Amino acid sequence: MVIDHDDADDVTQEVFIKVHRYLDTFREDASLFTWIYRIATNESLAFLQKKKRRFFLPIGDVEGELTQKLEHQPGLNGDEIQLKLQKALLKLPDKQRLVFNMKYYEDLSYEEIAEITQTSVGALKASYHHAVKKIEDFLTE
Amino acid sequence: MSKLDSIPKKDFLQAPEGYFDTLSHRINKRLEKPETKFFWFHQPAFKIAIASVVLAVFGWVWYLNNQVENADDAENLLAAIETEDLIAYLAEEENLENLLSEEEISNEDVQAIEAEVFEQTIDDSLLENYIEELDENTF
Repeated sequence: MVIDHDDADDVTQEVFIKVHRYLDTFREDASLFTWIYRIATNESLAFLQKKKRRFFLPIGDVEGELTQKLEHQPGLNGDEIQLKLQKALLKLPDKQRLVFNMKYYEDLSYEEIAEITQTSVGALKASYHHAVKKIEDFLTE
Repeated sequence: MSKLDSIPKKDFLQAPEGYFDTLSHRINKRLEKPETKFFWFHQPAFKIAIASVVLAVFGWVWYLNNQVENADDAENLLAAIETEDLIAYLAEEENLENLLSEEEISNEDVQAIEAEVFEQTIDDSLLENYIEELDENTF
């Protein structure tokens, strides 16, 4: 979600610190995996929001910054189509991109994503299908 | 097959080698360090809001003081005018007669004025002087 390794490292540490701090409050109404994943998604989204707000950056600048970081990822070197796909993903709103990643890359079911994001299955299906449509439109440009 | 399905899924974001070996140590170090508390009143937005309120209060106090000073100035102006000048001004005012004529005087007031006038006696010497002056002016 955050693309950059250093940012991902910060977010990961924050997630585990929060897990450590709030483990006593875990009510076991969901699985531990769901609970931790929920903290991770919330931290990632909060990190991206903070990044946008900090220097009053318009949304486009953060997207531009993340796109630049993408282009320097060693895993994408020479792979134009993958790079184009990742750039298309960055054009999605953060929450929609999150849902897409969880469904497409992590192969989570809609029910599992619904538990993590506390959104309805119907809303998630709609969000995912819209995301796919936007990505395909971008890829065919 | 959609365009997306034709693209192979590639997990291009990898954690560097040995990342997870040191992760727990780094997290423990952070847990040992006391967390810096978040004070909402250190936020820039709060500081701007406080500054605006202070400016507004100063502006309001200055405005009120200005009003008081204007009132004082009016009183000082009136105080600077001589009493005789004020009386002369009022006497010359046409409105004065109109005011007096328009004012309703009750019967009690009329009787009181008449009683006061009739009760007044003129000194004989004053009357003689007055008559002598009249004669001098006439002849």
